[in-house]
Amino acid sequence: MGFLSSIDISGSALTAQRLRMDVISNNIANAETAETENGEPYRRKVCVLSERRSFSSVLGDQIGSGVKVSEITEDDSDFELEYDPDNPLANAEGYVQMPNVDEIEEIIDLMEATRSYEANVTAMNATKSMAIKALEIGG
Amino acid sequence: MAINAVSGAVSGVGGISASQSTAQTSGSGFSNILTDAINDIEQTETEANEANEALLTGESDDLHTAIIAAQKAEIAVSYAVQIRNRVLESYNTVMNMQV
Repeated sequence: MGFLSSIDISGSALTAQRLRMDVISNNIANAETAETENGEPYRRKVCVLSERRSFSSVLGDQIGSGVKVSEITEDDSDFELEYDPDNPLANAEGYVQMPNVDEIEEIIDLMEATRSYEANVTAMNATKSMAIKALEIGG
Repeated sequence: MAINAVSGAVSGVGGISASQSTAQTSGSGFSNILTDAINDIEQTETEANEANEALLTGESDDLHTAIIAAQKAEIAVSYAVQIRNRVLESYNTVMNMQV
């Protein structure tokens, strides 16, 4: 049904925010991972959101059809150095490279993703109540 | 003059049958809408079942996809019920006309 596609817009936002939540959770879980399979510490991952354009929008429709995660990139900032000479991974000066994950920043991103999820659920409920109201035309 | 009156009555009957055929086409238009609504119910119901199955087997990670599919099916059913109500209402209006 055509009018139900507006619910799909909010649905795509819920999917994107849930995926973003997964990325943030992964960052928090790996905040202390000093060594991954490529030998380096864990690099913080960031997901990039972009507007999703449907086929009808290619034909000139102005409204997009929601949001999608276009890519999950790695944060290129430097690794943190922690002084721990007893660690087997320590270099000559006794420093160990730790992931470039700031837990406080990740928690704030987490709260942002949660609020965004709730806002989209509210928008979807409003769309549905609008549709139900339309069915009441004519008494 | 009697012949003219009779031919007038005959053309009047022809006019009634013509309006009956138009009533039939508008009636089939209405029934088309109802059939389309029922097909939509079937489609949204199938999608809701598939989404539910995908969620329960672990194929899909999204809880909201199954919920959204169920809500769409609910809206489709409400829509079909309303269409049915309107059809019955207009049918009753026609049937209650004094001849």
